[in-house]
Amino acid sequence: MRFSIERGEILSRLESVASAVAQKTVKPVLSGVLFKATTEGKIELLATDLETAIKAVTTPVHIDGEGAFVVEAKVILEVIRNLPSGEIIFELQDNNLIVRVEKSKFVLPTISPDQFPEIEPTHGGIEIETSVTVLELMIDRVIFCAAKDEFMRNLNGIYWELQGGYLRLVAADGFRLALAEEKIESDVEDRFLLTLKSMKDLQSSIKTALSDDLRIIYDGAKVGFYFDGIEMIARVVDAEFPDYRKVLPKAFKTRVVANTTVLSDAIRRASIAARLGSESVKIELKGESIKLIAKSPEHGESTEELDVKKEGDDILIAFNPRFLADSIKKIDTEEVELNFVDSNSPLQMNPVDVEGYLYIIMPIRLI
Amino acid sequence: MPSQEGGSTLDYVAHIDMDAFFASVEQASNPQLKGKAIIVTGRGLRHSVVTTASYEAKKKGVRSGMSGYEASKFCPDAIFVEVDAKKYEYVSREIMKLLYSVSPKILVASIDEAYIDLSHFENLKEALFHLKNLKLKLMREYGLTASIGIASNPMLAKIGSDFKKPNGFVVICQGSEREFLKHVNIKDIPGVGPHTLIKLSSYGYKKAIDLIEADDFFLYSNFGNALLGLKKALLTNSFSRTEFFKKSFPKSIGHSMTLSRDIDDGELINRVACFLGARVIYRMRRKGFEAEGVSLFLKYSDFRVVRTSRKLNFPLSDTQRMNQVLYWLIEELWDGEPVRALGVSCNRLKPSSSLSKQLNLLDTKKDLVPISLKIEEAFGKYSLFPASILAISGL
Repeated sequence: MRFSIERGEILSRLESVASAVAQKTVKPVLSGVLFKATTEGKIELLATDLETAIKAVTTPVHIDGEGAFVVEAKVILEVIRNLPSGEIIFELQDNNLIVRVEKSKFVLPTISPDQFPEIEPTHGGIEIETSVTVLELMIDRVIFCAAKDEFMRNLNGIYWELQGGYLRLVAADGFRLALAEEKIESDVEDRFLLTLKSMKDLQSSIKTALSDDLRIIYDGAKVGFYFDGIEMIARVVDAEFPDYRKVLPKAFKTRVVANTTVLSDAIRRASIAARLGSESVKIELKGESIKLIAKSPEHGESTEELDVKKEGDDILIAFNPRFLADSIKKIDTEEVELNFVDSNSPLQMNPVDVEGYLYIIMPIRLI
Repeated sequence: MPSQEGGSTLDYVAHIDMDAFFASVEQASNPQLKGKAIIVTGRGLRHSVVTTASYEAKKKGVRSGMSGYEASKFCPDAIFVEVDAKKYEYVSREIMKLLYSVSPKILVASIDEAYIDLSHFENLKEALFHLKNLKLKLMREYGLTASIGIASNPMLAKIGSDFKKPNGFVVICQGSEREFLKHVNIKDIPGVGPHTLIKLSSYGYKKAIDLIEADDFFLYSNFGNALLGLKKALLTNSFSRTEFFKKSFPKSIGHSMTLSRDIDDGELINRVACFLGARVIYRMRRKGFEAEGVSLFLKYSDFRVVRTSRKLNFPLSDTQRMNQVLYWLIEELWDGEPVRALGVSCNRLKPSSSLSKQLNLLDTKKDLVPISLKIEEAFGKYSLFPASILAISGL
């Protein structure tokens, strides 16, 4: 088996599949990428950690013979990244892969492709169409709120909901929640949960896409994402995501509108004193001003005061500043809206006059 | 009482270690046990593990950590006594109070050992007089013996207290450290583990002095920084007293239990783990800490021990999250074989931040820990536990 491919082409395809490679594994074959020559004269690249699988197809400049091999993902990526641009020649010889460009030559050991797991494609199911740009933005708006601890199985991922002509992504870690939604040309109704690892894989794979069309298929057990010649299959999590609608506040007593950058900078500064001390920032809303207070018995105190537009009651409430900072970073309108109920109820943060995403953050008890 | 004023003149520190503490307390509180081989075990006596053996039992080969069954083979006429934590904690507190009559600076290292700062004494003679007096008082008032080591640094003092057990009194004068270390086996240096020991003996290192005289580069290239640090700690006489005697955090808080029968019911294992987890949370909360790591160990009926731990992304201080973590750890660790003992501990401890008051969005159940703590205060430890584990825990 022998083929040659342009360096740029093979590198971008490898980068998009490599994110699915298993990080910690007892099966060496899962740390590799499977290269397979198809009968149509193309090369298929495949990587999986058994939860997620990503496949990319590329067209070589020349190809002779059939065959397949698995090569360590990290090694092949590093080799190709460091090769000069031009046509790279790949040749399989006695279980070794020879990689050659001009006068550079690498001989890399391979793993038998027979050990590589079979990847089952999606079977039937529902199908929606959206765009790479839209999905990338939606994931970015919610992914940071997902629980990072694997033991929280039902929160360690992103919840997908198709309902009433909308695609909704929700992530929560128990203390905060993020929701992003987008209209879609479909009236299918369904819901599923995908792991944080799959979502991160999708995020890094989608970045390499050159075209914008994206098709999503859900067959009840797996979700397939199809874009730019790439196919990603992710297994859904067998755990129930909590009923997020229950925690969305129904009515508010105080509404504040502030300049996003000014408030974001103030939160960042307040979190310095907070980090060294109580790890909480108090927010005092009085009249037309908002005051952020962070105290530390050893490192002093910081206060930030800024003018805001306020409707409703005065309030005193405390938050983990990291939660505020993480969310406000994602607000891309000039002004941000903060909606409060009382000091023990969640805050809703959302952009002003733009629909489509919002953040819910639980406060810290004051006493 | 020595003067507490004046400049620190004496560069010495003492380490006191109570001899076979649990067993000695039992013997002291029950005259019928005096002079006899006794074995203090956890709940369940012979089915449990040896926590302490009296010197009479130790002579016959009984060691802490052995199973009760194994110990009774070494010492068939031993008297088994069930551990009485309340009693030992009480005596320990009383002893620690007594230590303050010797020095204002004490570092309690565990229930039965402590470091005593001697820098406020005028000279060594005066310090030794007070320490000998302390031993007399311990004997007279509590009927207990202790071993004391006195040296220019805490590490040597600890080795000293262990050097002539029981009822030892070992003084390592400044300038005679190297001579003393010629008589100390490497295995008796705190911090030298079994693997390091095997490796060291393969290079022919037997005595502590061999380590002192070893080439630094050789130690670094074979063992990394660990042994270099030990070597330095053994010889230093300029350790920072303020830093050392400062109140330090515990590294971890844990609870374990040997079951009264082996269990292979996953649900039951989970419940016992959650019960232990709750105990850890209660203790941690009482001490004002939260944890960023949790560990679990299982001991199978064939005595095989497996353990796992997890670093958490958000500090843990409530039982609900503890249960979630434990379910996950058990799923990862347990291979389905019958379990004989298990233990849960919290590590990466830090003082509770206000984050422990962080309200939960999805789980609106009330934090039951404060109420549980009040119940325990009123009715004693272990007054709350799931009924399902009654039959196997010996509670």
